[in-house]
Amino acid sequence: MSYAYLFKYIIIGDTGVGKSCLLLQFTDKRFQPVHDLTIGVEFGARMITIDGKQIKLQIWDTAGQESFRSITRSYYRGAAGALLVYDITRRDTFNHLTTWLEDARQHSSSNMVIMLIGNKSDLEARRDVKKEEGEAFAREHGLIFMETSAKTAANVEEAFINTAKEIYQKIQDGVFDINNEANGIKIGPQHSLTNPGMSSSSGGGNQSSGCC
Amino acid sequence: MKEAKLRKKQLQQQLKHEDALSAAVKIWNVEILPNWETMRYTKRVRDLWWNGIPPSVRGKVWKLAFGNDLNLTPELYEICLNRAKDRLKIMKEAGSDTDSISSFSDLPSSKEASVELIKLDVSRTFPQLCIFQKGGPYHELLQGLLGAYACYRPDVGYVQGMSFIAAVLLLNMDVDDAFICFANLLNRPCQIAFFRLDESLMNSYFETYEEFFHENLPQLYYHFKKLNLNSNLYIIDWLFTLYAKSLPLDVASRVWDVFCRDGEEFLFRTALGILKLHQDILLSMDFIHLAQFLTRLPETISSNELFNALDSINMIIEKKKFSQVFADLREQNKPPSDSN
Repeated sequence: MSYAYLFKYIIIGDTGVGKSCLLLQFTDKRFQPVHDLTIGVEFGARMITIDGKQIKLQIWDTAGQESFRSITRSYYRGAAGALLVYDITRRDTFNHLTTWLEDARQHSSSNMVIMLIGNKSDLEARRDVKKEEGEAFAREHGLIFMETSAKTAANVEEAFINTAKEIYQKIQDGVFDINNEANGIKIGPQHSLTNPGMSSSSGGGNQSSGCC
Repeated sequence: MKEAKLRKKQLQQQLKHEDALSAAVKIWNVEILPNWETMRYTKRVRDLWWNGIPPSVRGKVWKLAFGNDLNLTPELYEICLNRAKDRLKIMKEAGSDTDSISSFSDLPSSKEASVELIKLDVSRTFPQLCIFQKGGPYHELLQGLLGAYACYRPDVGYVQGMSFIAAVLLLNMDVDDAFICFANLLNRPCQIAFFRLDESLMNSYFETYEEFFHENLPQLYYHFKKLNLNSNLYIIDWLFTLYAKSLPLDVASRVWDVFCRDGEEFLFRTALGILKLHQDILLSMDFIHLAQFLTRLPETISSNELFNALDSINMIIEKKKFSQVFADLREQNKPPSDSN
């Protein structure tokens, strides 16, 4: 299927916070209570529509264990967006955010958009990290923030799409050099000759369709 | 009419298969196992081995083939197991804040604290089998085995992927033997390199693999190159679980059969076999479809089709075996020494 842009995303965060479940909810609209653990990296893809344009998201879902950090680092290359996930019921996953952020900033393009996600918001009774704490962390480090539930699908769609909107805005503002693929953005095959800033405005009739 | 005929044929085939299986069990139990050291290298045994070890003798063969160079004993397992249990108890008392626990009387290099992670992963190991999950019959055994290993090798600790390897062993032998097998298996050069995340060695393994990839499947090799699809994107998952997570369990078990006969090179040969088996479809895919396909292989792969594909994979390049190509690459990549 044709698309105007392709954005590469990377999902990072401690093991067991629900990275793969968020991806599955976003791409397949389903929840698996006991998900296999991810070793190395897994992949997902979905087409979304922003401003009437088809955008393909290519999502790299990484292993969370500390030992795999050295491997994960090589996956940041060329990512336009990152979802940094913690588990609101496990404080230690929140405490490790700083090291994740350092890693992300160090190994990615400086324009990479980072969305901070407090996952498992359905488990209110077991909450260990206040929403305000997540908000404060995001503010302090200039990240977008959302609490999600991969189980109920709450905010999952928004988390992925808002990140894309932010990236799209940066393209419109000319922050991203879209001809440099190291930024994690590729122009779709049929669009490569048109200037994205000049291309026709949203037709509104485009339907985003499930998977690609 | 036609259906009945088909059913009869299927039944006959199954009976034939069962006869062959019980004959094989007998040969392994009566002839081979009692004379292991003299028979293991004979052509006849090697051929039988390639065709798959019957499930009922599999554990016994693996145990002999993986050996016990480390001279581990069931007593050591007990000791390590108790240590792991103490460790978990201390953590429970200290609450859920693992940061304060990791610093608990540890050298920074010790990864004994990784036992905490085991709890999280045991339930995520073969979830579809429903035996390793909390309340399942193998839950405690798997958690105990992994914890004991982390205490036995605190320099390695628990690394994701291990739970699948330990689980496969537990399905085939009792827990003492599984621990001994597990520790010896992880002590092999390729496994220790990966589980210690030794980047330089891992890269040499990937490079060696790439050479054999190029030799065997050049067209696919260039297709991957063009799309910037590095082998580590898919092979890490395969190697860290010895295919237990990526292939159907009966197929993975057959891979393990020959892995314990031929050693590490067979793991890489298996990777090439998987690529070869799907070569046509892989050649038509773009990056994301390839990456998705390879990190989530079809559940329908059968051991016969995989072994047919494997049969024709050539593991010798210019008279050099995998181990020699690997050694040469290590030599080339060595930083210049100042010894002379």
